[in-house]
Amino acid sequence: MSCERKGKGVKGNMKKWTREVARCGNCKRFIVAAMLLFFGFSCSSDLRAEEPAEAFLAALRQRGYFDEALLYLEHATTSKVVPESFQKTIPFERAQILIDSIRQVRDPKKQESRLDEADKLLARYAASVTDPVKATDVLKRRSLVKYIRGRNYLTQSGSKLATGDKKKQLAQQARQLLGDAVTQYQEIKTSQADQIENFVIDPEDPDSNDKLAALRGEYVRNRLRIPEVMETYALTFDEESSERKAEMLKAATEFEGVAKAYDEKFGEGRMAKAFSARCYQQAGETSKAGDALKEVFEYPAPSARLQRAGLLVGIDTWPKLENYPADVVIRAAETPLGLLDRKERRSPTWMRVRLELARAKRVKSEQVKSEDSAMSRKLATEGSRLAREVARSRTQHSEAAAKLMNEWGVSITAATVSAEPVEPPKSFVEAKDRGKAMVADLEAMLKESAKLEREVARLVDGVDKDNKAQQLQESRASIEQRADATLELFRMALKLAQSDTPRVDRNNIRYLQAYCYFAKGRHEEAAVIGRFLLRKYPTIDWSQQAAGLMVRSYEKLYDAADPADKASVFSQVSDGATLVMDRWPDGAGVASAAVAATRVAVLEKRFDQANDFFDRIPVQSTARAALASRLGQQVWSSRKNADEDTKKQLAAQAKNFLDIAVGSKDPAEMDFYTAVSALYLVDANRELGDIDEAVGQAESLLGAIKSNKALGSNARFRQSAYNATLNTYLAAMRGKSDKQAWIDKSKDVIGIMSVEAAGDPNAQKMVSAVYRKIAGDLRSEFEALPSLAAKQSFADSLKSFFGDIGSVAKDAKTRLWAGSTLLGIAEMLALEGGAEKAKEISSKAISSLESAREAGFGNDPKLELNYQHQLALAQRGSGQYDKAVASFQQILEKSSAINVQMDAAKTLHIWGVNQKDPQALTRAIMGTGKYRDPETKKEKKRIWGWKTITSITRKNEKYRAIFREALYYSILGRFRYGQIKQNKKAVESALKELENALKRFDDLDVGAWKTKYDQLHSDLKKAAR
Amino acid sequence: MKQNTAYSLAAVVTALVTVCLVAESASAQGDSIYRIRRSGKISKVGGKIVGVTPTSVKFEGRNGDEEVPVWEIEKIVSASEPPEVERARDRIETGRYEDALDELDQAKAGGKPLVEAEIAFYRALAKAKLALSGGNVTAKEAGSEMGSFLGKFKSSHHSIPATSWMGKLGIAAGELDFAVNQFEKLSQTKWPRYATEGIFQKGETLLMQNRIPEASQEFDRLIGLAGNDDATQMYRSLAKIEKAKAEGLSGDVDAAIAVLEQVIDAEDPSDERLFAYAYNALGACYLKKNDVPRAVEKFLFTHVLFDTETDAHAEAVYRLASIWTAQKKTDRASEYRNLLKSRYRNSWWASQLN
Repeated sequence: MSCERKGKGVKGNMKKWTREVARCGNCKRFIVAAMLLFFGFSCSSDLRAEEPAEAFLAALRQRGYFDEALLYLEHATTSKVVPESFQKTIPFERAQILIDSIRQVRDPKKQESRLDEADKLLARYAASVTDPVKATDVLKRRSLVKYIRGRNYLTQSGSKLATGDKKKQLAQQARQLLGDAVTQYQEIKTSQADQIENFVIDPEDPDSNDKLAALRGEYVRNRLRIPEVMETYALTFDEESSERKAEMLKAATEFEGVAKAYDEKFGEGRMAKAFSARCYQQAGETSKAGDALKEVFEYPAPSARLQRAGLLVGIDTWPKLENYPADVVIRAAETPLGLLDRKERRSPTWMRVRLELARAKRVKSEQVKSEDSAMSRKLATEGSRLAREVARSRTQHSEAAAKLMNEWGVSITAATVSAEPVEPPKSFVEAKDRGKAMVADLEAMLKESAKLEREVARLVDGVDKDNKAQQLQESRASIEQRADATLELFRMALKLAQSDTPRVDRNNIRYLQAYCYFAKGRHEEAAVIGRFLLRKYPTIDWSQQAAGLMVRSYEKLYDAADPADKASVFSQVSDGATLVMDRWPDGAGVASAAVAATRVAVLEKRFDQANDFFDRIPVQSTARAALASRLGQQVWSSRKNADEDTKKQLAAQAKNFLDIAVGSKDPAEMDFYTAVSALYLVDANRELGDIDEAVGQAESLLGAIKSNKALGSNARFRQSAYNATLNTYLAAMRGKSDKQAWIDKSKDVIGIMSVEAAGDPNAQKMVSAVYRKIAGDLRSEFEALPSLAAKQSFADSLKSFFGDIGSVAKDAKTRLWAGSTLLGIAEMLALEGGAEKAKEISSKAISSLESAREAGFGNDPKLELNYQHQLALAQRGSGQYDKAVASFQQILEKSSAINVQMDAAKTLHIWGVNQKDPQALTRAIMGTGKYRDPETKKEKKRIWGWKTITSITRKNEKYRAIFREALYYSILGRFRYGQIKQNKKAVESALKELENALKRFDDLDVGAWKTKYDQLHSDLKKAAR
Repeated sequence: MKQNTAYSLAAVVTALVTVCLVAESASAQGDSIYRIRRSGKISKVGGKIVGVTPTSVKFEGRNGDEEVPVWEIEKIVSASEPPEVERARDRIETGRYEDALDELDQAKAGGKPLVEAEIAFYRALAKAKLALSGGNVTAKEAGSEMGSFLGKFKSSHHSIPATSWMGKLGIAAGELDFAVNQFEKLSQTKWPRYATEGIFQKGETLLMQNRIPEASQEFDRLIGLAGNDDATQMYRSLAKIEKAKAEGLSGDVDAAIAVLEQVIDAEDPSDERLFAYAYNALGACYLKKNDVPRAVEKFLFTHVLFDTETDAHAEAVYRLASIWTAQKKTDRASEYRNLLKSRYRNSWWASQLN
């Protein structure tokens, strides 16, 4: 075959392969394609017949293109241009790629799957290999697979997700794999040793020496791997177990062997020494670990890697040694610490190393004290400095560092925060200027911290919130550190002050100290400074500012105080604020002192004092109205859990503040916060009985909604304003003879609400709810009217209110409810003798019920039943008793609810009384509507009557109220029957029944029923005479 | 010729002897006294120190013999004093006590008793100051050094100050009875500054021992002194404060508070020691009244504003640490305990923490 043809074949192959790669859809395809082209050109330019598969694969592996490499191998298996010799090795190559690829795979299951496949491929391949070197190579791969798998299982067994049996199972699997790996590596070692021993240098092979060197290199690498696997194997046993210790010691011995053999030639040999120390340390052989570490750090020119490895073991080993090796530690740690980059310096591990070095320096300092006091002091200072850095690092080692410093009697707060020593200031002015610069930084940090706090408060629980909370914590720690450092500078400044240093400058320092304390949250300290300057230097600059901070500090202390201490702290706020206001009545600090004192006085419910303080806030102060708003709302809200007397007091106080807040603003330009205060003011006026003011305020708000965009566009605010207005109209209506005007106004507001709610089912529901609430209030108002005449007059107003139900409430439920309310009113009228008016109202009720039916009950059977029930009642109310009874019987066919039974019996009773029909009364007592129960075949009555109702409910506490009512009507029915039939015996029987019942049941004539039962008793006794 | 040679020789020998004699007398005249004048200025007077007692130094100067009272002497420097001693004095003056000790380690007395005494005293002084400023010398060690100096150099002009230090170190070491004795001795000296200090410190130590009536007596003693010098005035003012405190602790605490508040109102706050003591006394009175928040506030005044007054500051820090420990405000308590242990670790107050 000509090269050209073959070359075409190769190119064709490459094109096909390129297409495959392109389908991978990742951005590496360009590079891979470029590589393909390169190899393609190489092929064509060199006129080779076969694809350079090995080189290509190696290139892919080198670049980490493992998926592409696997894809290529798939393709290469059947490719005609890939050398056959290569094709035979594909399983091995594939296995290698799979092993290499797991570092790009995070999912442990996927890792395991790849490793498992690799192991199988290698096992299959091993069967075909005859060359011992190759066989060893394959075995090495298999051992590596086992090692990685074992290590993965070990990691999984240590995970928090693994519990109990799963943990044990994973550990067992790890142990199995790692044990096999150790065995295999030992085999490899033996095999390689043989190969080296039996290797014959081929004089004609220029690579022969290299091959031997490579073999030796492999041997060394393998030897290093063995103890590593042994160590991992040891970790599969339980921590305190003897097996772990035994295996760990074996690993240590193995590492020692490697170190002994190779530490002079190879860096890895020295590393083995460090690892032996690690194994000893893990086995609890601290002394041996210490010895090994000593040797590690005695190696000449140890590499950075070796030093780090040694230090990591050392930090856990050295503190446990009986004779603390201070020299070793200093020698080991000093240089590496000095070479760390910024990120490393902050890492917890290096902080730990730093702490160890600190300890070593202090120990060394004690050791040399008697011989060389200067060196001793130097070491002690350095040790303290290092420990202080760790103590202030806010890592998990901070506490340990603080504890050490405590033992040494060294202060954690020091002049400098930074690691590099800073020259102390030499003069008052220098210290002051440096301090002021730091205060400027502190201000910026405080702003940032406040911003973070707001963000944390705003976020819901989750990762973001946790992250921000962490940042906030770090920010606060930094503020504290900065404040401490600044305080120290100011302390030095005052020490450096001369007798001629101006008082104003000293005052300035004191004020800034107070600021730093305030920033740290040390409010007591901040307050003390302000208090002193106010007392002793009131006329010197900065005293006023410090005094202002004093009041703010007391305010913070008040907020944080336990309830038992609040009164005492309040007096500090009050005194402090009074002193400030008295001292500087026109000063800049007056407003904030008065504001603080007012707020705290309100919280303490000392309203007189609160008003006094509030009055001292300058009128022109922008804080005044805003404070009034805030306090007014606060006081108003605090009424909830108060007793009646306190409620009134709080309402009055709130009104005072709210008047000020709202009075200052034009409704058309009112901001939202003030508008909310205006809403509260409506409620406060109403509660205090200032109805006219409440009405005026409410209608002003309604106007503001129209003219003020900010308010008008806020649906929630509008809703609240409508509610407040409606409540006010209802309150205004009470006690007035002309109620119609107020009902009409309420209707107008509800009308507006309905229009706004059009098309929005949720808004409509809200309107319905408001409507029901208003209606409920109207009913209560109706019930409270003293006379029938008044009730009848009000009933007309109610008729008109409910008359427009269709335009207001679109839902069946509300319309049904309106009908029910009208029925209730009709019933009340009927009971009080207003039968004609009652009929009229009942007819209106029927209209409402009809409109409910028109609105449709949907698929709600309960609503349907409710409608039927109400209709039956309406029929009763309008005198259509037979229709009503028939309606009740129909309802009771579907549902035998007790309230329906009651209404049915009552209907018969009313029929009997109104029509003077004794049969109706009898049926009311004994029941009616016979039918045969299809299940029991027994004869029953649809309407039970009073007798059955009392019998069912007599012994059930849940139905006590019903029993009371049913018994009452039962006896009343018998009485009326007796009266209609002029049957004295019936009357006497009723009396006897009543008296027996009163004796038997001591809870009949209670509450609202007392009057009724008493009246009945009295009437019966009269009639029975 | 022979005669000429003999004469020449004799002349040379005479000259030599004269030189030596002159040299000898010159060196014997090289001592100095640094005298504190009425104006407060220090003037150096050269001469010869011929005798030293605890209360005076006998001096032969250009103007004749003098017996200079120790309270008019800032320092005496003998001709044979090595330069390290002066450097040590300077180091002590600037608070570099360790360096002072280093210097003294190098100094050689050369068999001169005066120099020996200076070296011994300044070594003891450096250690005493190191101990009481929280350094790595315990009060006991420093006391031992000072006691050793006093034992060996009984007639030194440093005896009275050394006794004062013994008393202070005694307090720091918890040996309060010992301290009371030392201060009583001090109170009997003729050196006004130390006599008044002795009375005051005795009263303070008795207060620490809760021997309030005896403490009150000492303060009365001090208040009754007629002297008008700075030291007497200072201690008299302090005694008034401590007397009020003693009365507050044993009797009418409100009256005591009123007295102390009056002091604070009336006095110049640049007298930081006075204010530190006054606020501490107020703190103690409020503790007696069980008004802990007020007590905390008063002690904080001392801590925040007058922390340079180490004795009073140490007490304030101790009181605050104790209060916050009792209130289980562990963070605060821990901070103040650490402060006490680090800054005043050898003080009596720090020992009370344990």
